[in-house]
Amino acid sequence: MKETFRLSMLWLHTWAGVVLGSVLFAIFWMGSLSVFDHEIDRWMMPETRIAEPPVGFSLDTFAGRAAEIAPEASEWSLSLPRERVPYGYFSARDTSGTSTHRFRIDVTAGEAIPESETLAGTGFIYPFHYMLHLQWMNLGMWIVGMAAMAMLLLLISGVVVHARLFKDFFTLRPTKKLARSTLDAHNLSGVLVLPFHVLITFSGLVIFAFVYLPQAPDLVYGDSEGLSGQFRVDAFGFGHYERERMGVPARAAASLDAMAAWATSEWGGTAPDDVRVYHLGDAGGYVMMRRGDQKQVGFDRDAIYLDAATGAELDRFETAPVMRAQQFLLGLHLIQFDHWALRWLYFLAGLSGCVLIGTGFVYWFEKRRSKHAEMSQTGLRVVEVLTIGSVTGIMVATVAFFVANRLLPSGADFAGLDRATLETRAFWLVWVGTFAHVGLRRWRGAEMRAVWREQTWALAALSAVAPVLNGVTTGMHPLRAAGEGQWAVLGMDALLLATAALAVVVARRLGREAPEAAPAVPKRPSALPKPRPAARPATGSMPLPSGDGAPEATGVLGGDGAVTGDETPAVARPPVARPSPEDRAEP
Amino acid sequence: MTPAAPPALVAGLLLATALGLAYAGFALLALTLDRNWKAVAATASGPARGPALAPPPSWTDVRASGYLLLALAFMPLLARDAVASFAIVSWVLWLGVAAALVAFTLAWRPHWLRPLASALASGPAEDRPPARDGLCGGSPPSGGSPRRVPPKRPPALARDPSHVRQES
Amino acid sequence: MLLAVVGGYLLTESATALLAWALAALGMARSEAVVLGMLLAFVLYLGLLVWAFAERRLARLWLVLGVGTLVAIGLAHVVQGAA
Repeated sequence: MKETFRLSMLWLHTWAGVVLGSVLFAIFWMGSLSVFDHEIDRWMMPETRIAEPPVGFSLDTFAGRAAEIAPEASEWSLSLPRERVPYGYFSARDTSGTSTHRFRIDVTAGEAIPESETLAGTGFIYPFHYMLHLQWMNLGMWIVGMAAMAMLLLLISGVVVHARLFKDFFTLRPTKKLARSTLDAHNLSGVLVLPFHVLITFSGLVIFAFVYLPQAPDLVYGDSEGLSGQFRVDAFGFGHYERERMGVPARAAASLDAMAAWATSEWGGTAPDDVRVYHLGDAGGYVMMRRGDQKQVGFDRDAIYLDAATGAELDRFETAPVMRAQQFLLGLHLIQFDHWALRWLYFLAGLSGCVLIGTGFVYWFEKRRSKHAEMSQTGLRVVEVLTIGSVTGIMVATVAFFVANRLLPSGADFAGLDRATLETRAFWLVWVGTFAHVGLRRWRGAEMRAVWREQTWALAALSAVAPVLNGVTTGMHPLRAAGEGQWAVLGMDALLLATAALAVVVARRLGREAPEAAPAVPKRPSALPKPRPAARPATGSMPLPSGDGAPEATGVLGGDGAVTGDETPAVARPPVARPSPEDRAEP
Repeated sequence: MTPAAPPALVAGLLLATALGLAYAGFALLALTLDRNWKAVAATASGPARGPALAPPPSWTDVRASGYLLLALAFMPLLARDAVASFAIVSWVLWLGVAAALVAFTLAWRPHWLRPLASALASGPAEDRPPARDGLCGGSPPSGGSPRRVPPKRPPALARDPSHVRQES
Repeated sequence: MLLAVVGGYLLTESATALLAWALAALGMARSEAVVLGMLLAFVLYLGLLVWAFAERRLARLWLVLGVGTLVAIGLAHVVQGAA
């Protein structure tokens, strides 16, 4: 029974991995980048590289400016700037109910920041992570949901299948043959980061639970309004307190700053991060302040409603316990809090998920090769194309997206597409191109490894070009970025350069070791009889774990100084086929 | 209760302490595993490196200290963040980093753990050190067994180690 | 495979709604019941999937998923009618 359970889990692990691995890689890759979505925004939207607002920013002063920006407004809302976002988000609505677009605003100057001609991190990369930009009937969201369920299944079945979870807890054998060292890397990146993977996947599902499970609110509330009904009010506190206009002009206006200060003291020192003013100028006017959540993991829905004229508290909303747990999971996933160390750790852990998926693919190939049957050539080819295209391909496409952002002139317009669309088209075209590249090259008989190498070179070239373009087109080269405290821009440049450097190392290794791998063949009896012409690359692809693991590792290693110093030389130096005497005393 | 953030230097030192503690904890735990002990002990077996090391008589204390260090790594993180939820999430993630660093050390620089192993060792090994696996004594030598087919799942890491054969 | 994924989903979806309704009927705040049901739903679905992939007897799979879903949907309709 136990053995059959393991076997069925193995079967599940293999096929769920092969079928959904490509999607999962894209989700993990884009998710890891989304950790720095606002930083990517700074880099891709030079117009938002403004100084952070001073500490003594005044809401009352801003309210004066808001009256000038939106003179007709009967209500406005402002999301306050935060550590990673130097600007606020402003929107207004007039008495007829017409709303303005929510736009970025420099709160100190009280001026709108020019509309960005790019979707950048928060508009493209982050939505890609959860809906793949397939809007039709929420298809992308459903695919991501399925992939996330599959990820949970993969983690569970992976733990079940893993024969020696604890004995191999620290085991990584880079000098062993490819299947072994890849499996080690796969296990390591799965086991050591398992709590993160489980939590991030589960919390990701929770975020869109209302999309995936639409029936519960209707059944409980006995209506068919789903999320827009009373449930929304009870759970999220939207419109928790409302009152009508009185139709009488307001006699006074209390200070917003004083209200914020009072709310802050009510919340034990946590300042509000979202302010909404309703019924401006009317005696029924009131103000909502939502509790900030930058200093804690979970989101916060708590809000205080105050009378606009007197500043007296009218009502308050407090998040209910289960909802608080749900908001904690959301915060855990969406990391909108201020914590740089954690942010980098999330980035690393996310990339380790990429390594996990990538090594899973490579291991699968190696297993297929050693059995070289079971699957038709066509099927294998399809998976090859999907794998390379979805691993290095998406990286190349992403960096191409950055490059396109710096190359396209402002106001660019081509074939009726605006600049932002052109950028994303560049991403899609390059991505499709990488798949085509794999297909064509393999069809023409190129080795798998050669294809990996070419795409890695492409990644290196693009990543090296992007920071240069940034310096040239915006004038903000790394030195100036450092001088002006634009750490987001500096960090982006540094990571791109690190990616380029590591991609070069990997690409060169992929090229260099082609002949070295040949003597290794006799060591693998299973590799000897190879009926297919494509079999040569199979054995020749010894260094593949680096080819695959390392492009992701690029980000990983470049990301954390501590790891870089320790790790980079180790990855780069010892050639796979040459175990040093002290490496392993094992048989 | 908005806690005042400690100055950057202190915060960095606290992080480094946490990482160091977690690394040491995982290094100890790694050494209780037969494969890793042999790998580290063998770094000394070369000609001019001194004798190989015999494993300590009992792994119980080593393992307990390892876990203790992992737990202790939480304290500097809590001191740094003062917000428990941050500290817990950080702790889980830093543990992963530390474990990965131990794994990298064992893979590429096993001799770095040599001093730690010497401190634990019961002395130079005899001709053929009959090292036992620290966790599940009685399983076949690790290198040779095909990994995917062992009939039983291994016992959990936290399992009572009393069955571990004692060496002297 | 399809049975496990789709059947498991349908059962989860209706069972979640029922669970949330039952919790609310037992006196939990309505929004809280909904959110708790949704949190538990993924655990339930995951359990169903693991079981479905491990279960060798297809008939039993059909029985549990099919009958379970039908019962849950039926109950949901009854509840909805009563509300």
